[in-house]
Order: sequence, then structure tokens, then C-alpha cells
Amino acid sequence: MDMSAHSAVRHTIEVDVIRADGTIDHIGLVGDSRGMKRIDTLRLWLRVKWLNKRRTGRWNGPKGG
Amino acid sequence: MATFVVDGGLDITTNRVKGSGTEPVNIGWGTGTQTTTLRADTGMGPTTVEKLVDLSTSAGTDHTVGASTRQTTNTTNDTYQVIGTRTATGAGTVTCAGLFDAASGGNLYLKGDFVGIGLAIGDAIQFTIKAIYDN
Repeated sequence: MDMSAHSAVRHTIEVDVIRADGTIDHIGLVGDSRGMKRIDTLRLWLRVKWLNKRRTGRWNGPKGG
Repeated sequence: MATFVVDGGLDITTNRVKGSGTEPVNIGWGTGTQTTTLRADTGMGPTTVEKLVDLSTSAGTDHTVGASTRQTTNTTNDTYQVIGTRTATGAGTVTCAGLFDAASGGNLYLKGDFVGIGLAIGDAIQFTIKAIYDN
């Protein structure tokens, strides 16, 4: 008798950015193996781009690296 | 964007259930053009490059040891969670992160790619990474 079991594993990554001056930019969920709603992806993209521009002066973050 | 316990991570999981192997509690990150994480990935590549905490340096690896706990998402203790903070000593834009079973080098357990987060020198990212086992 085959009694093999299959359990799904969900994987998530959340991030908060702690700036050098001590302030915290909360970003939250950036990755979810079950996928993210298109609106949440768009909201995340806009927030990170805006933070990049405000904190580093460039939409895509610092040059190099 | 995608986040996976990669194929090598499944190897680590079954090995740990057998009481062997090393806990994948070490956090690494990478920069470069974002590509969707694949289950077969074994590192931060192919187009992203693993970086030191100095995001301008790609030589070698210096993973950050996170704090691991078991958490409850749906069922008691169904979640393996690692929290760790990496502080950039060189500026750059982080586009991916992963968990490894060694402080330097090691095998990739879980990886995710995301919209690039720009860090200036002294900025840090606190990662909260979860693998949730659910029937």
C-alpha cells in the first residue's frame, strides 16, 4: 500500500529597511510562493521605487552593486 | 518575482528530518538584473550576483546568521521562520535573497527575487523568511 503523503509548503519573504539614520521603511511582503495579487505587486513596486528615489536619489537605487 | 524552497532545499529538509545536515539559518543577498527564481536554482544567479554586505563586492560570501523559530500560521508550529538583518557597508540595490546552510558558501535552501531595494551605506534590511508547511 502506497501511503506517501504530500504537503504543500508556502514560502514568503518580508522585508523592512532600517536606514542609517535609524528610521525604518516598512515594505512588508516582497515574495510569496502562492503568488501575489496584481494590485499588491503594483503597490509594492511603486512604494519601493519611491523609497529608492527619496533615499538614494535614483529610482533604481544607487549605481554599482 | 518568485519565492521557493528550491530543489536543494528539499534535500536539506528531508536530511534534517533524518537528523542530519545543518540548519539553513544563514541569510545571503544579491544584486543585478532581476530574474524569476527557479526551483532548480542553486545560488543567487543566473543574472543576479551574490554580494557581501559591501554590495559593491561580489567575491566570496559572508552570510548573516539569522534567528530561527517555529511559528504558527495555520496549525501549531507549522512554520519555520528566520529573521535576520544585513547592513550594507557599500551601497547597492538588492534584488534577491536566500537562506543557506552555512555561514559562507553552503547549499541554498530558499530563494526569492523582488523589486530592487536601494541601500545607501549603513542602511540595512531586516528579512523575515518563512517556510509554511500546510496540509
